[in-house]
Amino acid sequence: MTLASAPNATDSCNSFIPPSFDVNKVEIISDRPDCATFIFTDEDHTLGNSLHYVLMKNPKVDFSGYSIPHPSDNRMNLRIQTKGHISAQESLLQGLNDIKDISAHILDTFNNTADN
Amino acid sequence: MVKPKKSTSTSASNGVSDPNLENKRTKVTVTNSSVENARGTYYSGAYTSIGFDNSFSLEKFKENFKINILSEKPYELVFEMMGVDAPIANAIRRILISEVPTMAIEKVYIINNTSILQDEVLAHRLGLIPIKVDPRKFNFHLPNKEYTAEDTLIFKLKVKCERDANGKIINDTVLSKHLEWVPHDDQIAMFPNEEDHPRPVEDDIPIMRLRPGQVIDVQLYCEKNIGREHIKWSPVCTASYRLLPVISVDESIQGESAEKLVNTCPKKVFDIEDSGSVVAARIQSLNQKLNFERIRDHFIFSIESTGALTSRELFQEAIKILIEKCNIVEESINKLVN
Repeated sequence: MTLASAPNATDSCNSFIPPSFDVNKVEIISDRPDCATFIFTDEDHTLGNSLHYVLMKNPKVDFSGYSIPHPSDNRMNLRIQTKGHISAQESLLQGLNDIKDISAHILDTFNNTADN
Repeated sequence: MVKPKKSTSTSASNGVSDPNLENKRTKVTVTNSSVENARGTYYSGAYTSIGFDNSFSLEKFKENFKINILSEKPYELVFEMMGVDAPIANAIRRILISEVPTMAIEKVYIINNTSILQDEVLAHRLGLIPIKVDPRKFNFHLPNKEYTAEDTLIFKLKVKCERDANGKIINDTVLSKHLEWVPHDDQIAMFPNEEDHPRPVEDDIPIMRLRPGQVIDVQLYCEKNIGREHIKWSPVCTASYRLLPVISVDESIQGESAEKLVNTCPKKVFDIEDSGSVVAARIQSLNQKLNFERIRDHFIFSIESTGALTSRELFQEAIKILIEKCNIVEESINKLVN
């Protein structure tokens, strides 16, 4: 038993996130621009609670909440209602950016502390 | 926009000072019977009445955020993280436990097993052995695809238990050090240094016991995956945090009662367990004057690695993964909207 040589790199995924075979990571259910339910596949409290947190801290957002309807489904629902100045999608993108900003700063600070 | 205020200012010009609400905002209170205000309130306008802007701003976050390393060994890191709220700290902890990838034995081809340990039990035990190899050098193995040098590591384990010339039994315990890496030609270039060669983290993990004449001969295929799939891929023994405890004594405790408190203190009243929780064996009459609290945004984080990566690398990886998760969602939404 040996390994195949000359691997075709494009065949596999080199990211640190396991490859996903779902078509859509996120689905949107919305009949008004300021309210929407986002259905996330393969996400849990890690992203759910973080997004809920940054969205609640956004002054343009009135409400956000998330739920994991069934433990055997790999689904997470996030509901957003904005105050009307921005759409729910925009607020979600803003929230994702906030998490990225926080994370980047934590990483920077950690690296600087670690170097000393 | 109102300029963000320092978190400590309660007597803000555009709000009424309310120590009670300020306390709820910044602390978790531990009482005799319960923990109060454990859940924080994150609504942006929640504290406008005391003049505190609870909305998120990056500048304010950068100003308040601090990290202080308390103790560091390669595989055991303890540090303080201040100025970050529980959802973010918890996301990092959860990613450390279940989403930072490592390599672990996934497929076991059993060529010969005459021991009394069943094949499936042996395979399970082998899977749990931590492998010391940098998982970042490998790809995820895709199902139903051929194994390649870039996503699979092969070990072999071939041990025979025998009696030597003096009748002494040799190899009666199969240990993790008996695992032997079978490198592919491409993989030798990936690990030029002898000390970087893939191997179990510890040499002395017992796998099974043999009697003379019993043989074990197996081929082990390691794959890369994450702890959510199976705990054998979790890179940490544990990653946990606790909040900084604060014990405050009311100023009115003076004279006799102060003495009484001090005398009781070292063993009974202020007994702090290893876990950091305060054992609340308190003096009844002083109950109202002692406060046991925890600071809501001051985390004492502890990361114990199983050995594939150092604790420091794990923390860095975890944050990169959190950012990457956000990127994937962002991409998906942009695709939907356009």
